Amino acid sequence: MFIRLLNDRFSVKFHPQGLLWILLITLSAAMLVVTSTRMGSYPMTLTDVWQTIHGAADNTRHQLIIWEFRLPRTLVALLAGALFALSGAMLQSLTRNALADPSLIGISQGAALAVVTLIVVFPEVGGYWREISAFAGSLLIAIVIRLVAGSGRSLKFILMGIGLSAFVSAITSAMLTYGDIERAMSALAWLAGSVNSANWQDVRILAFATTGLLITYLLQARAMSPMALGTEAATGLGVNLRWLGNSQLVLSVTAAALATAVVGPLGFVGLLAPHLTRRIINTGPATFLVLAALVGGLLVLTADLIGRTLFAPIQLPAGLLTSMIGAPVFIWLMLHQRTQT
Amino acid sequence: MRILLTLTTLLLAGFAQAFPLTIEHKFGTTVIEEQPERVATVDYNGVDNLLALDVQPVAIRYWYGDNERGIWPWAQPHLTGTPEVLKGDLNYEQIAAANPDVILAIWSGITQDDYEKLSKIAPVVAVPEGMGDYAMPWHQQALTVGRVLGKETQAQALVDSIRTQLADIAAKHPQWQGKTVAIANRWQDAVGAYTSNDIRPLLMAELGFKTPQVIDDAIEANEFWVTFSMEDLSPIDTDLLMWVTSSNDFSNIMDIPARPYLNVVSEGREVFLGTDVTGAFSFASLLSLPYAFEQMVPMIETALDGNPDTLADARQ
Repeated sequence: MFIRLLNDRFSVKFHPQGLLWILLITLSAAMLVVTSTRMGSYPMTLTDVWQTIHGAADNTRHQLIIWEFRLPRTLVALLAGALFALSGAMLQSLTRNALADPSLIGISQGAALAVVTLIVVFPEVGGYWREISAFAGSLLIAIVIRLVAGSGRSLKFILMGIGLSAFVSAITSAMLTYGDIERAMSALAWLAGSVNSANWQDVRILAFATTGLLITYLLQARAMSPMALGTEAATGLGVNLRWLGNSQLVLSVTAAALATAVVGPLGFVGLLAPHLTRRIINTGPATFLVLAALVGGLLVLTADLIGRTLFAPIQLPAGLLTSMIGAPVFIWLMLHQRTQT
Repeated sequence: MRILLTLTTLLLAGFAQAFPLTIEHKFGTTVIEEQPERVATVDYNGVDNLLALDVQPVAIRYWYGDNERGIWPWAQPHLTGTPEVLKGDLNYEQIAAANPDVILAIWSGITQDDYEKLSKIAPVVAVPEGMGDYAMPWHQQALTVGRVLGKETQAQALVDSIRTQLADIAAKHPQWQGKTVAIANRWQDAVGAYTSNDIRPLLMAELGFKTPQVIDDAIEANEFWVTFSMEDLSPIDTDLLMWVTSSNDFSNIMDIPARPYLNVVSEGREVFLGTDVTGAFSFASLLSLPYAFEQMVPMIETALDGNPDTLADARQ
């Protein structure tokens, strides 16, 4: 299926098989959303949930649980996962390196340092400053890597990123030691990566970001296929590599920074989601991006669901779970891939 | 007689009119419409003061220690209900499930986000504007809880009785007046001590002990706690050295290389408070403080008896 708009400037192609998978994963995400709104420390039946969402029941406690606690949390998990996945997918395409991930090459850490600095040094500022400083921190790291590593040298880019990420994490730790213990505690809670206190404002920010970025990504999808063939081939096919590279970097930074600002740095999602997607289906960039976003959302939603039901009523932060699930799954993926080839 | 009656009626009416109660705090203004029955607390030490005021909480916060349900020995006999125990990240749903009329958060470190979520469940009482998250003095905590519960008189009486207990101890130990005390612990590679702003030295001051100036002189960012290099422990070489620890394993303190060379150590004027007394001090509640002083007095008496070989503290 082709979608062509704006004089062919926007043209994406979805394979039937890809569409089938998109449908399948959307359905499982929908099922998981239902499960997520049904599960929790406050006992509610599926009928209660259904009636509350419909507005048929006037139990104010139920309305509070569903509308204020469970739904924002569920949606934020889904959207943040999608953003991390998109960021990872973009970075992997840009560097043509399967290891690229916002939390591996320092982009999430840049956001974390900026936010921790904000919490520790200027605890009184509120509003959108967290998002803005996260974005600035991430972008700064990305620019530094880009400047030092140069463009097109993918391994150098990754290695620079890993080094820089360790450096930035060290400064963050120092910041926490230096800071007032109460503020440090609040920063640490955020650093663990949790969707516990998600609210509708978070949902709005992430929903706008995901929609906007997904559209922009799809606009670029067409140029991504030739890029996978290598720089010479891509240039030969008329792709403006410098412009594309820079814009992809900024977009991927934006996605990771916004998601980090809202839920904290969630490890492995940006790495894992694109890899899982590639295992599901081998397809063109448009289908791939949509699928990767869905898989990312599914991952974080699952992580949060497990985190709050495993030892209920004690909740494990989603960030802990994504790393705990992510690392072994990633190793399994890597080993499995090798036996196939 | 008539005037007296009128006065009494007026007074009683005054008490009855405590609700609706309006409380200003750092997140805004909270109105509690009527005397709450179901009380939840997200304060780490919150359970104590509620139990002291004869209220069985519906939700309490676990702090630390391996006591059953996070209730320490001094509070255990007072608990008859089965409150929800909150552990880790605040689980809003769990609090909502307890169906509270009011939520206390005066020693909890809740954030603006937490406050907004909690306020949707029930009115939330937070710390006053400008006060640190864990800086409310023990008596103010007790009186705030008393006010919220409509039991201010009872809370005041309990605060007074602790003050009386301290005054009695001081009166019985005139030899303690003017002696210096350091309340210390080892933190990684440094030794830390509480400054005279902290509750522990403040309470010790009521017994007659004073904090040496050299400890207060070390204050930098944190006004309650200072650290000293393990190479120079002279600031804590006081008349009485009390160690606070979260467990009864004192090896990290025994291993401090410079410790044996302190006069206070070689002359046996040390007290190891141990898990429970340290905890009671930290909880600083209407239940924990009487317990702490009951336990501490014999420890201090033995440490200051002039005989380095006698022991009466948690090292036994």
